Amino acid sequence: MISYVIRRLLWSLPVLFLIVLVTFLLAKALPGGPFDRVGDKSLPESIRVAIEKKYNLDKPLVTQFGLYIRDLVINGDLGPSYSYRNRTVNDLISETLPISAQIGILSVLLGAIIGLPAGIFGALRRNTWVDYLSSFIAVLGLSVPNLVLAPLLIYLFSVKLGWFPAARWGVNYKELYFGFIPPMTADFWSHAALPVITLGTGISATFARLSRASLLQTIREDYIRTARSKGLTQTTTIVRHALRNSMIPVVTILGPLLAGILTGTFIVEFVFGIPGMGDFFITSVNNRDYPIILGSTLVFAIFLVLGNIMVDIMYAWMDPRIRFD
Amino acid sequence: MAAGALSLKPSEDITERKGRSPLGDAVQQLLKNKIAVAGLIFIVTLILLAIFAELVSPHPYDGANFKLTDEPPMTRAEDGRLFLLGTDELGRDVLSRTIYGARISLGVAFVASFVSLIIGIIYGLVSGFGSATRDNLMMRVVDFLYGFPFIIFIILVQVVVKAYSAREDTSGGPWGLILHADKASGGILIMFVAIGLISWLGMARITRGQTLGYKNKEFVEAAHAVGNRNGRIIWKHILPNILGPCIVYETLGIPGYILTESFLSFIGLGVNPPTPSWGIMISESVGSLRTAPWEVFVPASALTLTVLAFNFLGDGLRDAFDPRLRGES
Repeated sequence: MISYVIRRLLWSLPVLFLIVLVTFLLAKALPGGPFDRVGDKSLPESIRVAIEKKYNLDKPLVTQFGLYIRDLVINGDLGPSYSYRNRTVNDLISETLPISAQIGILSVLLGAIIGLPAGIFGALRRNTWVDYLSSFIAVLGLSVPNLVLAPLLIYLFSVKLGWFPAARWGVNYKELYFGFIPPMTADFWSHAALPVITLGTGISATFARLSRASLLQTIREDYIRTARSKGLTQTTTIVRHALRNSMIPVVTILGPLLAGILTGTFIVEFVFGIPGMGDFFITSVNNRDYPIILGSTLVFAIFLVLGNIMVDIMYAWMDPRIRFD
Repeated sequence: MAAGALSLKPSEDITERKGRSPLGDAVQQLLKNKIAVAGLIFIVTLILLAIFAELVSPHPYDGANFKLTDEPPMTRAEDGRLFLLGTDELGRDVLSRTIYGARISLGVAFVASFVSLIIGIIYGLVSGFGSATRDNLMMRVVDFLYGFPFIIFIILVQVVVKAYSAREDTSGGPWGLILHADKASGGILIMFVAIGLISWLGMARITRGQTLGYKNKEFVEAAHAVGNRNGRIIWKHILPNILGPCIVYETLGIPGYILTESFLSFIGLGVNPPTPSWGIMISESVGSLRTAPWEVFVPASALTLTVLAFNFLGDGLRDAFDPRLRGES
């Protein structure tokens, strides 16, 4: 197991390096330097040169890349934010990332709680109305984009019914335990409800479709016939043999799903005005704040790659056959 | 023939069915699937609306009218013009902008599919038909690229493109020419192609699998035996067989392309205003959801129905062409 984890991590290094390189080169490809102007005013030549020297921008490209990699690997330093004074990209991310993570984790939990039972019952009651209904709702859930569902839920439950607040997040990043875990106040849940439902709908639809397909396939396996023929009850066969095996492929969808959750948090945070990383990112895009955009893009990319590795490791842990590939 | 086949009843002579091609079979199977047919009709209607947008839409999609901002549906202007689905924050007709927006969503559906099909099929054919070593190497590359977060890559490329477009002077050379074309197309060209460029991995795997399946079939062997060259065998014997499944698989990817476009436009990295895309219409109006909900819900409904239609059609096509997968995912 440990050798698998190490192998998997080593394999990801070229991907990560490629991402850093592409991000770096694109940052350099942007027209104009970051200090050509401050606000609407051009900086005097001498000051611009001094600042560029401070940030090593006067050195050759290869040296700059080397320094960037060094800071990134040794200090985990994503560099200074050129536009927010006295703040580093790290500061900005440590304030916004925990909120996005809360939304993401709660959405996956909601998706699993609703999606897995729906898919499993659909497969067990195949071609009955339960199956058709859950399949139909799943296609519907997959087809309603986050950027449609978010305004719809706000309109229904905030504007019309007034049950939930339409915007902001219930807790400040300073109130988080360990800088990550939110206090479970009523305020937190009422603010979390609509964003999490928005993002959780698509996830539960994905889970439902996949778990249904996977369970249908597992039921046909020889070992299920064996279990039945040695006289196990239907419940024991399903719960102990079929379900456990059919849930293994479902875990793999978490990898591709991560990218969807990420883009989903962009939309949800923007529409609900939640001060997470996605909202911050869109604001930066609209302000044409390129250093921030590239810094956070790098974080998103690293997050996706590492997330994928974690899913792979989880998969290998659940299904020992994988490790020997 | 299709009409005759449709009216077949179980009691009718079974020999009637003889001589029908697999394609005819699949088409008949598809036509039986009412939801898929509904999706198909919706898509065809939308295509017609998009092509004839100039004729169909009651008003132009751009041009501000500050006397008629945020007007609710069924508003009639002083000069008698009717705004069936209301106007937006700049006084533009929401219905017309939604109709023109179909061009963007359908455009990305077709351009990205086309790019992904071409690259994926060529890559898959070369990989599957070649030696085991080459196949292994090429599939390793695909495996490697699967771990690459492409949505991030598109975001980065669009950031750079937008940064250059924002400058007045576009430089010469091929890069400047592409940027110019992108600007002239309302900021869609590079995005469309980029979405296609990142989506061929799955297609390459499908094509390779299909090619491997046909590579050792008797008719391919026979074609080798009579002295055909590899290129001709691929073109004449393999490709016609795998094209159907590949197109069906590609249809399943279309909702993803449409959603990616609307996402990019939503976050401000897609079409350039005033080009109407459903994503940008939603993001521009979501702030006034309380006072002018129609500005959000008209494009939102169009987007949802279109994605739903493509999902239904894609599922129906897959069921019709690949009976093994029927109703299993």
